[in-house]
Amino acid sequence: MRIKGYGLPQMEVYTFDKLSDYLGKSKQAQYLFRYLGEINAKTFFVESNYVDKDFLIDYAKFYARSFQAPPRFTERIHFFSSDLTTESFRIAVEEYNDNLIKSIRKSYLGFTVVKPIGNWYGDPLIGRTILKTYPEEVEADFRYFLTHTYAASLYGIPLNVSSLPYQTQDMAVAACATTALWIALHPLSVLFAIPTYSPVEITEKAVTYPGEQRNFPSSGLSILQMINFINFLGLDTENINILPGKEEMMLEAVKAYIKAQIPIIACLELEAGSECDRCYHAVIVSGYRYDSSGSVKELYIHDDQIGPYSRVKLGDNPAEWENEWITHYGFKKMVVERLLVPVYPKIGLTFGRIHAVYLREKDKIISKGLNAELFLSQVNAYKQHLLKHSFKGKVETLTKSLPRFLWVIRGHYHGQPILDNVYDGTAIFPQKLLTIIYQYPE
Amino acid sequence: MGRANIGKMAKSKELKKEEIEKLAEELDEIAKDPKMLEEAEELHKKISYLSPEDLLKRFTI
Repeated sequence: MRIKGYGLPQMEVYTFDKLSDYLGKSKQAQYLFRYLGEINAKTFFVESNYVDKDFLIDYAKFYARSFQAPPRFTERIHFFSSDLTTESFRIAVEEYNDNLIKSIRKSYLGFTVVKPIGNWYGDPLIGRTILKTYPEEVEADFRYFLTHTYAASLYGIPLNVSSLPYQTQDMAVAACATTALWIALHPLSVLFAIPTYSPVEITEKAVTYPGEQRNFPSSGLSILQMINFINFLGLDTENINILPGKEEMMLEAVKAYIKAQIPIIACLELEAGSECDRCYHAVIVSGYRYDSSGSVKELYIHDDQIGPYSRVKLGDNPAEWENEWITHYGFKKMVVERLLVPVYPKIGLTFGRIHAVYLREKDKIISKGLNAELFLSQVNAYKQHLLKHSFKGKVETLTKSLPRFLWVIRGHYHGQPILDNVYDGTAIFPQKLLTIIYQYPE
Repeated sequence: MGRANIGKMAKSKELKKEEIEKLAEELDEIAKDPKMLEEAEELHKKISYLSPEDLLKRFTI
């Protein structure tokens, strides 16, 4: 299959309006145009014959055995917020021009890999995509994203971007659940030192628990198969059912785990769409927008059928979501049924058990005019936070041996911590370890 | 917002040190309440349960 735009000239910088020549017109490509516009992309550079590890493994395990195998190289498109030109790029590389290289690095927005395989309409599939997030401050609100720093090297120029990797599904080897697991693997790999796997490898390992249909081409995974893969990683799965009347708990779980940089798989039920009457879809929650009291105003998801950081509007019922599935794809309703959270097995204190304590403490905290939040933290991150604050018994607390994982219930005043109750995250039942009362200058 | 301003704001909202310490004591009682453990168990069971039907739901889109 020949993909539109594949194999065009190298070492050339293009203006943003030429992007569709490379990305095609798939719904994910159209989303990327909109998203890149919002993060102020002005120019892009095409790195031809790029070897993408994930695609190469998918190629070796699946495509290489097709009679009409596609090329095994991809194209990687790098995006910049500056008016970079081909000439200035050449000078930067040929003359090692320090100022130009600094300018290229500063305006770097990330990249997307374009695979040499297409969808039904011949538009190329979007591979590994790592793009800068929306700004962290917006009007009077803030945004928090699940990110780690990823490096790229463009002809020797070191480039960095803080993000969460994304790719669209390639139904030969992966449906939404496999892709969600692939996205989740990146932060899990950083946090828990586990290897990453390509989509075909994830599907292979997940289907060691058999499903109702063929493994390849992939027709999706069941929850059992997703959990089977998470078990294979040596991790455990925290299942959080979204109970009727307690949907707010979903937002509290999102905040609690994303603050620890742990990815959350949201299991969605979609109703009355063109593709099905009722079907299930899996996405990764990649961030949220919140106000100074800590209330979540909007969620961001990595959805393999849409793109990275798709904005989710929350209705009166926060489990009923609105994004492109409703506004662009013709579905009538999208509801979160449950969250699946891959966790380190050592985190023995489940969300359900600590959340019950949180609900009681929250009532008391709010009655004093404060805001409350619950979050999981690793001890190093929590001690780094404490180091920057004043509180009674600071030295004793910082020198005290604490478990690796902590659940923290915080009373805060518009983001400024007032009081923390710290629970042992490795215990089975809630066991309080510390109370921190912050001190501020009079 | 500087810490000094927060300190003043806390004062203006009558979040005096004594009140925060009192709140900490009240919260401490919650953690020790045996009923709390029962509630925690109940919630844990409700929200973490996956039925056999749930386990086999396929995510296909």
